[in-house]
Amino acid sequence: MTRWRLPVGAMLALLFLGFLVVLSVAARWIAPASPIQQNLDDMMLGPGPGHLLGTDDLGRDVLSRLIYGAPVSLYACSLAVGVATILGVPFGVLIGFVGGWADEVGSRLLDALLSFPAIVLAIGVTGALGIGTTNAMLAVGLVLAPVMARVVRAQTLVVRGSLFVEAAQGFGAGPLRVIVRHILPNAIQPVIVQITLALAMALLAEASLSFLGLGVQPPQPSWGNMLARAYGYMEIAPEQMYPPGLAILLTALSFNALGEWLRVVLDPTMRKRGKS
Amino acid sequence: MSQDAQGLGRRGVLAGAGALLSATAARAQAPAPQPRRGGTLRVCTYAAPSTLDPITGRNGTDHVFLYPAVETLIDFEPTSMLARPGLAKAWSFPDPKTFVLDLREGVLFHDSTPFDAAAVKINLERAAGDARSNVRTDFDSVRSVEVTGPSQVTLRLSRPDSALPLSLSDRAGMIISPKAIKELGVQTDRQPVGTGAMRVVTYTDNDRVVYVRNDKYWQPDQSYLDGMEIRTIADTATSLRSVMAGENDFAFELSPEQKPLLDRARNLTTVVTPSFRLHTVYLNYSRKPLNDQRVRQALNYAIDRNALNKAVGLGLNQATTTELPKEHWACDPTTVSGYTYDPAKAKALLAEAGYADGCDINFIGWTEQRWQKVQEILMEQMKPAGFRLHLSLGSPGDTATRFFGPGKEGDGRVAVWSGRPDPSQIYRQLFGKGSYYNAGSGETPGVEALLTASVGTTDVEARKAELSKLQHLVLEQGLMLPMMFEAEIVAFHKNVHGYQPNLLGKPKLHTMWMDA
Amino acid sequence: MHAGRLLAMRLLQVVPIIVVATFVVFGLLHLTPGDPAMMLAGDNPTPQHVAEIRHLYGLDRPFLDQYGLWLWHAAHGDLSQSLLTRAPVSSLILQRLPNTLLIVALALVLGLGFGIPLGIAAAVRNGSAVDQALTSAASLGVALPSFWLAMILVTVFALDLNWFPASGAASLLGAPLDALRHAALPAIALAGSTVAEVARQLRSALIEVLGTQYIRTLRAKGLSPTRILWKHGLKNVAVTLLTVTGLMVNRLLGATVVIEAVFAIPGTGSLISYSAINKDFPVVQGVVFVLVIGVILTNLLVDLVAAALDPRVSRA
Repeated sequence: MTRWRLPVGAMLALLFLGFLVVLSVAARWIAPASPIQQNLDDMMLGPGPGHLLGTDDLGRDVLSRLIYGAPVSLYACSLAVGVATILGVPFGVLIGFVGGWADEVGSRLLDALLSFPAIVLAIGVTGALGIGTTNAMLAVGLVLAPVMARVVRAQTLVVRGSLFVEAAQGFGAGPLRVIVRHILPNAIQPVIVQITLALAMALLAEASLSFLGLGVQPPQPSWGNMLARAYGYMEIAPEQMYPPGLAILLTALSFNALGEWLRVVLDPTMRKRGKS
Repeated sequence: MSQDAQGLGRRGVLAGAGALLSATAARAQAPAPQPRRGGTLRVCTYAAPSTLDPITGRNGTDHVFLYPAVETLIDFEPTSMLARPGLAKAWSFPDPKTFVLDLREGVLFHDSTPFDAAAVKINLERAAGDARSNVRTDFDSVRSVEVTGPSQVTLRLSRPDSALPLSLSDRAGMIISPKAIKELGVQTDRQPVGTGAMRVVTYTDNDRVVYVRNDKYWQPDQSYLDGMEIRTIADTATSLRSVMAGENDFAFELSPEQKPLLDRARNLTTVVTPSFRLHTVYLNYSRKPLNDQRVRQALNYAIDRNALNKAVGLGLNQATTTELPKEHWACDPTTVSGYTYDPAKAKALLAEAGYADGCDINFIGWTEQRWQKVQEILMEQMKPAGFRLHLSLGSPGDTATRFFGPGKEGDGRVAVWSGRPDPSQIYRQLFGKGSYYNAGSGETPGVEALLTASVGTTDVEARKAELSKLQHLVLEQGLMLPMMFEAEIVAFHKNVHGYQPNLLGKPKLHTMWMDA
Repeated sequence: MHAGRLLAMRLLQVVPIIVVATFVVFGLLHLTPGDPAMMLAGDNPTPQHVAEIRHLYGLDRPFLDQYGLWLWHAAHGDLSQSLLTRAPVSSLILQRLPNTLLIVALALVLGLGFGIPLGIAAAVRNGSAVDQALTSAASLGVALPSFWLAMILVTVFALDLNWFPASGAASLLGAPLDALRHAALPAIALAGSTVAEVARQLRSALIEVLGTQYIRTLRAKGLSPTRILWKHGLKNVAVTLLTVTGLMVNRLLGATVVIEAVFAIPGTGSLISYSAINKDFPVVQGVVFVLVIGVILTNLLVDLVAAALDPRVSRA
């Protein structure tokens, strides 16, 4: 039971992520202004009482854009990781379970996909699918899928060789039943850890793609495209790059901290040790 | 002295862009220190050349790379855009369907072969007929090119065409060595062997073009630099940073948003002049909803050009509703503010056209930050008029292909029209029946007749009258959504002199010189 | 002997990986809407003009033909020409690769140079305040967006203090000092997360090794902690370190795409994003080909060195 005690880092991470979820759901009540309402008479104001974080190059309230950026970023990350999970997990289970030449070919395919620098593949996919949040995140999902598949495959290999699976097969359980009843439940823990870590990677990838103009499209605010805008005004208003940058940093940090904690908590070797 | 030019630049903007161009030009031409031989000028610009072969190039931004190395048969006055002698020292129309060019003698190409009538014939025929030529339409009126003397070429025309002289001050009149064309084949794209003051030594894609002085140049007293380097830096913020840090000497086509920064940079001279580059939305008016004149007019009433200019141009650009800048010889001043921002009127027009519940409209735009900003403002401005603007983005080349190509995607394309030296050329390319830039390719009643009339005479006043009618027709029909003419903003180090801006917005950089 | 067989086996595996990887990219690019021939035809293209260009550049052939032809030429060292500028793709890459390699190599040197000592320091004082501070810093480093760090570095060290250039690159052979000055900020921006990742991985591997029975026995025998660390601890984590290094090369080559955009560096990263946006297929294809080969060879090298260091690896 003591292992479930939250370390400070993980607790802060959970609090921060919870805060983001609240922001996302309640953005329109919390944000002081509209994120897209332009006011060309009040462009590039510094932080002040009217606009706590100042205004951007179209006179929009930076704080409100930051707040409305939260659901956009969370949606983007979830989409990418969802795609990665849906593609990666079945693929990993399949090649791990079937083994033999399927595993050989599948693993080579994973090797090939993993030998691309991730963003390069994402740019290529965005080129094919077209620019935009959903397409960019599908691309990121495709890039993350092989990582997920690899983790699941490794876990499947371990479970498949274990005594209870052999026993189940001995009692005449079909492959589907074995996968659903025995392999997936045992592979779920590393997958959960991987999902959390992948969320951080997806967030950084979203920011990079939006920075290159391929991701979230204006006027919708995202932390990545806010940074891209701020880049153009580095000399005039350097303070504009700090809020979105910090938001990305803290969110990625929280996902990572959560992942690390889950890794410790869910580690099967530790759990087995606990049971015996 | 150069500080003077900067002060003048700023005052000039306030006083009115018209006075400014000539004033800055005069100042720039008469610097106190004497021109000096030597030095390598390092220039940066956001664009990369599409090719360095004058006739296969595709972008209006190529000229700046071409001018130092390749000269045109006919030149233009930088401020008024009227024709003046170039490689041809004189020209005439002995009759409306015959055009005679008398060429300079003693001019050599970079490969030491002579520039003569035979070379011009080869070039013009290549521009008019080669499969890879992108300027074939400039020769629509030309039936044949004849060598009528060692230094004389005669063009036989199928119809009167007074746009021809200025067309020959553009790509179509750029002359390169026939020997090089033959030897290089498609690699001419990378090696322009012209007669210009500079010779291209290396061309590194998307990075830089390096030039050295042409010692055989026919106007040795007009050429001071030992060499030049034009670097491509896609982002203007980065390119200005490199000039401020002393990594480059000269940057042009800077964004107006950088003006406050330039005002603070004491080591730089800034010059702001009007240009031909029109920020506009090309429209496809061959189908719904834009095949209805009322919808096109509503669109023109739905954007606030002055607010746009203030937000993205800091008021330095020239808001407009027509296709020629105020300073141009053929511009009819009554067309420059034909539509003012009036969402209520736009809404009424839309309702009249059957779009009482608003109208969905699809534009194709650019991914670059500067343009994203323009597009965001348009979206916001058009809302109260009842337009729901949807955007789909890509690179300039990509969006052009999607919009003008066979796919005919979208109702409008947000872009820059870089202008052409002759106004009839501009209107024919933008609105002529079947022209590439007329995305719907349809014919607008009256346009063809006026186009023909505008080139039927060489008399400037008569041409102006016809072009004025054309401007009014395009305005009333709302065939385009012009927004503003971009200010040409350049910044350079105090040791750089002799900058000569031109209305075309494509400076000839090789005429500059530098202090030691 | 082992190494020789391993090398041969791995080299055989490399070929299908390259084929699959380039095929994926080739397929993606051909799914892309838009027609490069239209883009090349310029203003006022007639359908005939477009068809001529399509034929001239072989764009009218069937998809598999085009891919096969490309692969055949690539296998012979010819990566064909850029559609947009007619430049040979191999020379484009050769011009730009040094700039990218310089910042990636420099980032790797910085990453290992700082990451290794920090990882060791944290592992040796496992659980101490130093360890906790370093671990927190490393978590921060891993989550840091490199292009944001790059923007901060430019503002402070290029624009305010003017210590380093804000953009561009210089030739390492022509002007080595200038090249290093240009590469410094981009490399530091890239190295941020590398330092953190190396330190983290090294720390946990080292802690595991130092906790084994074998080391505990050595300690009981009275060997000095320093000696144990250098002679036994580090030798055992060398393989982890190598694996991390291989992974970092891949990650750095990806991150450099955005970093090159921030610093306007003419490298392979900016080349690939520009070419992808402009649909210059042969260039994208060529760069991917070279990068993938680079990554695979790095991994191969890592495996070989790991096998040499630890005979168990090659047996497994």
